[in-house]
Amino acid sequence: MTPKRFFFVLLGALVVLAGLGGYGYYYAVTRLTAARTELSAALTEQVASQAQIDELSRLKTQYNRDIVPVLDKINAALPRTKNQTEILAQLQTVAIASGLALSNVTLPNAAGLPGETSQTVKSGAVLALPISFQLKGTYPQLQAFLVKVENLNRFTNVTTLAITHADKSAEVTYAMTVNAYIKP
Amino acid sequence: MINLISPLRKEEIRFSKYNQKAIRYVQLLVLVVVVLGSIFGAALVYIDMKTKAVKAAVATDNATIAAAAPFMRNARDTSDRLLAVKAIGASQTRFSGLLEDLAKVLPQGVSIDSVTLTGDDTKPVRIAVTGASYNSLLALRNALAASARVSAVDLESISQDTGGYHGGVVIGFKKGQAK
Repeated sequence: MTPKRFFFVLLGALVVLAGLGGYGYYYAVTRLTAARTELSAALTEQVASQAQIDELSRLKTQYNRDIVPVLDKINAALPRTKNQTEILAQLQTVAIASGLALSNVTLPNAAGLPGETSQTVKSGAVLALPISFQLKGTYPQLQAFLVKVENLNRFTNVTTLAITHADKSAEVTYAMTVNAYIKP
Repeated sequence: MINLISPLRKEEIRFSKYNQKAIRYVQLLVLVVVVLGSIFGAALVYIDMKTKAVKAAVATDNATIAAAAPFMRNARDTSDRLLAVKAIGASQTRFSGLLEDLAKVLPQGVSIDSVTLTGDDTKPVRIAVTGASYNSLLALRNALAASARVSAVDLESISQDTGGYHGGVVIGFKKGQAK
């Protein structure tokens, strides 16, 4: 091969090499940018998940410290089922303890099949079981009864209280409706 | 000095010199390509390794978070329960306190025959009372009007029989004071 021909071969090789180098550089920079973006996204995700784990850990500690000890009280205050027998027994116990006579207890008719939340009506975010009944006794006895009902371990609310004392020789009659709350 | 080298030979010598330079350029270019390629390659390998490690850590974190799902459900349920307890507590009637306050303002000799409390301060509450005298019912009206819970009082009726004086009173409660 003559030097002249070899020169042109070299020149061609130089051009091809420069072209390939340029493309390689562009390709490498593109790949590097994509890889950096991917790493950056993964790092952001890692920071977020780590923050979530830290928050979970804090929440668990707080839950175990503040909630677990009072969980039974919360569930008793707002049970998942109506616990009908329990609340009716409580009302009778409170009436007897206050010296009042409990009678004419009525609850709503079950719309469908009886169940853990039948006879209840929606009251905000919870269900309410309305219990109507009559009491007979004096005003101080009623007062004692109301205080006890207002402080039952289960959340109840006296929604209506009708006092009748037409016959002054007889005891005062109290017609009352109490809502016992349930959160299924 | 006379150059006796043939023109062809002269051209070969010139191109030989060019070739020497061209070979250097090729070598330099190859070197640059190799060095840059190594740098980029190493950077890519490093970033890929780091990305894989971070993704593995994220997967572990996500597994930890997923494992906490039952706890989160319990915590959310308890939170909802507490919010409901708070809402019920805020709307709970305290008729014991209301009756105590009403009893405090009843004048001597006046008793309640009937009253219905609902805790609703937007509705009037009618009270039927019996008093020993006409003036005792007027005193009841004034006493109720002075009560901290009552916004206004109207006497609707006063009648008399052998049992005494019977009065019909309607009261309106101040906001939030009917329970």
